[in-house]
Amino acid sequence: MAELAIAVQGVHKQFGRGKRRVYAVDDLTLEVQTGQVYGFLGPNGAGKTTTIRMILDLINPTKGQVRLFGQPVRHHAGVLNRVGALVEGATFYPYLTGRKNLEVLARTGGYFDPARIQSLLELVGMADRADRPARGYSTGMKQRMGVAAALLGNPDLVILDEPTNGLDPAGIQDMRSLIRRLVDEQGKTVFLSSHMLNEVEQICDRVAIINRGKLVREGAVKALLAEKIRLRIEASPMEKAMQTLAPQWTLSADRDSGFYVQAGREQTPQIVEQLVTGGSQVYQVMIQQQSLEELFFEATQEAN
Amino acid sequence: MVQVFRAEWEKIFGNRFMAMFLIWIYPVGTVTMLALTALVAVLSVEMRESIRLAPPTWMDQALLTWTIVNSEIGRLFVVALAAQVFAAEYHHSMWKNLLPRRPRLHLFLNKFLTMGVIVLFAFVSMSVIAGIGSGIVVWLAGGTYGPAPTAELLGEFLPVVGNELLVAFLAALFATCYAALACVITHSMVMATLAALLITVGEQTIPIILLWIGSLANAPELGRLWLWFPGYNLGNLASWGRDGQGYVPLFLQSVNVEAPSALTSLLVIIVWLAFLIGVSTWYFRRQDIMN
Repeated sequence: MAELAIAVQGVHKQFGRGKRRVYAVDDLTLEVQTGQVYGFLGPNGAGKTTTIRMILDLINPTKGQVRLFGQPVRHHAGVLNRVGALVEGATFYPYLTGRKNLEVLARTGGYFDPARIQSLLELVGMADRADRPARGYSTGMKQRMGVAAALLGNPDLVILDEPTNGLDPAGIQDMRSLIRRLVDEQGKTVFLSSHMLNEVEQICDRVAIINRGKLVREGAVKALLAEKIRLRIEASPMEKAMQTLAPQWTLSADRDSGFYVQAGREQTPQIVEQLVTGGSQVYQVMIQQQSLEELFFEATQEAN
Repeated sequence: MVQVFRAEWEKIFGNRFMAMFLIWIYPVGTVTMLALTALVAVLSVEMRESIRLAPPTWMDQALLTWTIVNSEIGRLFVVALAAQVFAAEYHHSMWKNLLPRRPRLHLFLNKFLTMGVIVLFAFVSMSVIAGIGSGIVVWLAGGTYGPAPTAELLGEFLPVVGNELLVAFLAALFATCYAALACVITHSMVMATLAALLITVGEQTIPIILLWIGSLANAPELGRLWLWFPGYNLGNLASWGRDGQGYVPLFLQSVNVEAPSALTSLLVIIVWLAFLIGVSTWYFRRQDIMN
């Protein structure tokens, strides 16, 4: 079994007291193995950023423990040296240039190396704008610099909170390929929080979905999406075909000329036979798995 | 640790506006004042004559700077600088980028260290420039800038200036501590500056409050408590260095109080500083960084 990069164990985070008490994170347990891209999803206010802040020891859990690479993170046990992070939008000292900002961060971490800074600036496409004051950077430029800042210490674990915010389509594509390369070529672990479900579906190996501070779904992306296979059927006349199947199967209408049957691959012959026997003509049967977007809405609505 | 110190240094001096008005103002301000005096001396016969007749000594000039630094106005600059230094990360949401890279304790104590070095640099450069620059002004006026720095004279002068430097440095550290504590509580540069100033100035009113309570309670000896406050002990330390004797405030002379020794005052000051640095560091270490 691979080493655990992150282990969040029964973590609670409570803000306020008495009647104003709010649980931002409520008994959350997560395990992220090394060498994968782990997606961390949830609606606004679900507790994603609070969880990330607890992982980075920026805020203290009310209860529970966070361990990174097997070591507790409280009061910077040294294990945070193996982590690079971009949290809730990249921020910089506005009066320093982008390069100077990276230098200050690298010196703080004790890994100042001008050559590494230059190569990271090139990696994120900011080499030609690195000597401008950060106050003039657009959101997208700041995000690129933020990713460079996260990678400064050549960390084993990279935590990225909404890294594609403010990026143009080409930038999003670059970011996606960079994240995959970090894992596939450099063996790093990436913990990715994002609202772009399509992006997460494409690059993540596993995902966790949280809602109101609680974990509602967790698993390998492929397995989660394969949980609910359905058949898309095009048959004529459609009403008659739906009437034929309705007593036995759960159906839902398609926006176009077909309808969906909640059934797996192995039921296909039986359904086709029922349709033909019932007098319908079958033109197409497609096996479809749900998208991450559908899974996300289903999971968060169930929890609500 | 050198790298962390350098990072803090680059952050502070990288903010050119702040550095100009709160750090460089000491040496550059002194140079400007001397240049203006020199200009007047060159242009005005009367001015040259007055300097020639009563030229200042380099010792007076070097010590004058410490009086300025130890004034309430001088303290204001230190408080404002400390508030900028300690609140910058809150203001620019930078703690989230820094804290995962280094333990909080190191980063916070490093700020005190950097502030201390900068304050020393600013004060000493101001004193040296004042000492040398005044000589140039006297020379332009045709006067004699003395006395000659003999070993004996230096032996007498250096402890005096050393004591002034120590008192100024400790006073600056107190201002820094107040600003640091206010910063970690309020997260705001403006609030921290105001709060630290209020504490710095407010401390001077403690004897009055003690006197008032003492007269109400018919217990004038309550005023003795003032001997345990930083303000008194800084004054007492300065008095031992300057006059060779301790300082008893006027309102305590009726209570038969003896001034503590310089060493006792220094110990009281160290305990206060350790307490203030400890409290602000403790508070910072357990604080949630939310933005």
